[in-house]
Amino acid sequence: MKFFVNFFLLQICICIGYAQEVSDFITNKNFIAIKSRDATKSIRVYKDYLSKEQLSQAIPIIGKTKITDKETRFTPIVPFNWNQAYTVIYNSTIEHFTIELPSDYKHLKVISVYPSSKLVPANILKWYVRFSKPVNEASIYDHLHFITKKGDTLSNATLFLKNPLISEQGKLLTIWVEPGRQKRALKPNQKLGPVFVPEKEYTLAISKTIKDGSGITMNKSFQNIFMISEADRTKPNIKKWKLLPPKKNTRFHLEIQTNEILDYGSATHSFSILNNRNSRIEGQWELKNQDSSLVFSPNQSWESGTYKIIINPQLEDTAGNNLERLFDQDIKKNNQSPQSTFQIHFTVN
Amino acid sequence: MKSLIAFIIFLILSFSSIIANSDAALKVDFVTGNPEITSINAMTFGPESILFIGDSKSAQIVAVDLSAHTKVDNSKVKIDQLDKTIADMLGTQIDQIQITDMVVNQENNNIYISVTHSSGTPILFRVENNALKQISLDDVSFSKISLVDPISKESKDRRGRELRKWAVADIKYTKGKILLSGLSNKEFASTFRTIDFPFTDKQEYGSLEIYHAAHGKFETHAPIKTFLPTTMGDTSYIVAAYTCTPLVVFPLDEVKSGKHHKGRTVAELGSGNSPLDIVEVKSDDTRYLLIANNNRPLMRLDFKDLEAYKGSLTNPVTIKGAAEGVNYVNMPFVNVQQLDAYGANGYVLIQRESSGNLALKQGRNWWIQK
Repeated sequence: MKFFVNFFLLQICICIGYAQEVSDFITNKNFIAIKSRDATKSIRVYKDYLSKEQLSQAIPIIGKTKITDKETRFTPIVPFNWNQAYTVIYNSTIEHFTIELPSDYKHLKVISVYPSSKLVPANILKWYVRFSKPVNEASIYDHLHFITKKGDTLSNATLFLKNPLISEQGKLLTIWVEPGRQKRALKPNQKLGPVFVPEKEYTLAISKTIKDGSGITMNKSFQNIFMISEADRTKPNIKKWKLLPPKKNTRFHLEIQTNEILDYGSATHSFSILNNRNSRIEGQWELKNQDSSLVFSPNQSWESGTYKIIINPQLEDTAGNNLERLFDQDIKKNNQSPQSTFQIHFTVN
Repeated sequence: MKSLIAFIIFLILSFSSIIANSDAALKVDFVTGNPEITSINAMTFGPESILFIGDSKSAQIVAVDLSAHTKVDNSKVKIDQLDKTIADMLGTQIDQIQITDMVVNQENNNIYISVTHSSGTPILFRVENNALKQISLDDVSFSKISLVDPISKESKDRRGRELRKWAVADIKYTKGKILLSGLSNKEFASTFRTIDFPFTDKQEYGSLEIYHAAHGKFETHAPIKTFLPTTMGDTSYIVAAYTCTPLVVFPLDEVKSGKHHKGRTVAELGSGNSPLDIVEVKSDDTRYLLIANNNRPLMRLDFKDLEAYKGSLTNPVTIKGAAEGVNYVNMPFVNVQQLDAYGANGYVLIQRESSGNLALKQGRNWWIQK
């Protein structure tokens, strides 16, 4: 926001051909305003540094013009780019301007990647990348690659999406590892094989060419190196989980040690805790210990008593297996889940 | 004679009244103002020049009245360097824009293109004399409905961030219903919704899982990337192209809320490929399906072959040499990014040509003639 109020007052820019006027105009990311003494009735802005001859062929930037006693203001439909040259024409005057990137600009960074574990199963289905600020959605998957230890880029490794899956106000990107290759017996799996091979090392590489919402790239590329283990063909088993209950009259967290990597997107909203009056305990869930523990931090102190954790059967591990079914389930086998509800009880003393 | 003239006038007035009433019936709930569209993922036209916009960011479907746009002739439409033109008009770089959809209003041949800018701003363009005109959506006649997730309450993580995302993949209108497919970052499942139009307070949000079995062994849930409501014989069908490349057919009338449906897989569209658009085009009496793909050329299927094919690739192929599914022809159009039908027997596409030029243009009818 700081940049938007940091006006760039430009005086006497380049005047080509027409009247040699001295003018004041103000530019920032969101608009260009020309002072009233120029009696401006129209204003057109073009991308790039254009000459008079080039202007006749150019298409003006779309936006809204507002004329008041004090100024004529043009607001483009999307903000002006940093470091992009523009040409403005008004009252037969042609001028140029550029809004320079502030020296203290905070570049886009990768904050975290999920799963954070450095050992993931061969049939991993999803990766999540959290950025420091909203990213440019356009062709975002072009900037992400899986690379072998030898440096070869895997082809057809991720699912192409015209509308990328980006949540958290543009900061969390979901990458689907090509499900057609991860699922056994599907055509892509048969023709191309699974994406990852056990006991091999890979890198999730995010090129620094990826841009933020303002069109500025990262300062450096990001790499997440991981190893591949055998494919996970078992459903998460809540009977094997270990609970570490908190103490009463504290706001200590409750920890569930799942001992397998849960899917980040699914894990943090598949649980609810009820007290013995069946009232829901509000708080926040978070994955810890390389995604093999789930931690709940309550908003209020714990009361002594018995609690139950209700788990959504759709909770998935990182290979897409949920509590009720495998991601690629053999339909000839008995797939009946032994349980219809998934609950764990614990006591706070 | 006078009575005949009076009768004709009466007929004309009655006909006009019927048209006006049907118009009013569909748009009776429309209001004028800003529908606050924050993303345009997918678009389709319904009757009366109503444009339906799938807006994932605001989790809504917006119906916008675009009947003010009069009939045009886009039969020779050609815009070269489409991406550069759009970037120039926005004062930005090509890699900061994404064309998210293109649709043709079959009532008046207007072509609309939706674009997302890196700032997240959605922009709608209309093609006019081979130029792009921005359509402001700030003050329009519209009606809208929120997409309510069946999961009632969205949990948040420690910092209060909502993780769930559901993106509209495709949207179509048929017989008073809006059909919607999408992809979530949670489950890899075929979420398919049907919403009545005009929108009412009592909405039944059909959250449907449509799955197919792959070669008789592993059950497969998968999302639909693009689909087409159509008819074969007297029955209404959905022809759906899945992310894992099969083309699946299922009867529309059998789609009931909350039920699982086993589609009939009729073709595989190729490994490492993702379908982008399906449209129906006609040439004389022959109907074709055209399918645009991200990693295969434009494909053409004859409806007669589709109707004649009674099998399903979900059953193992046991006859040696038997063709796997419905035959399709690869047309000499590669890198077709957007596709829609145009007029009686045409189609419009946005194609990245071999020279690198991104062009909006008509497809040649010759390729869909016998």
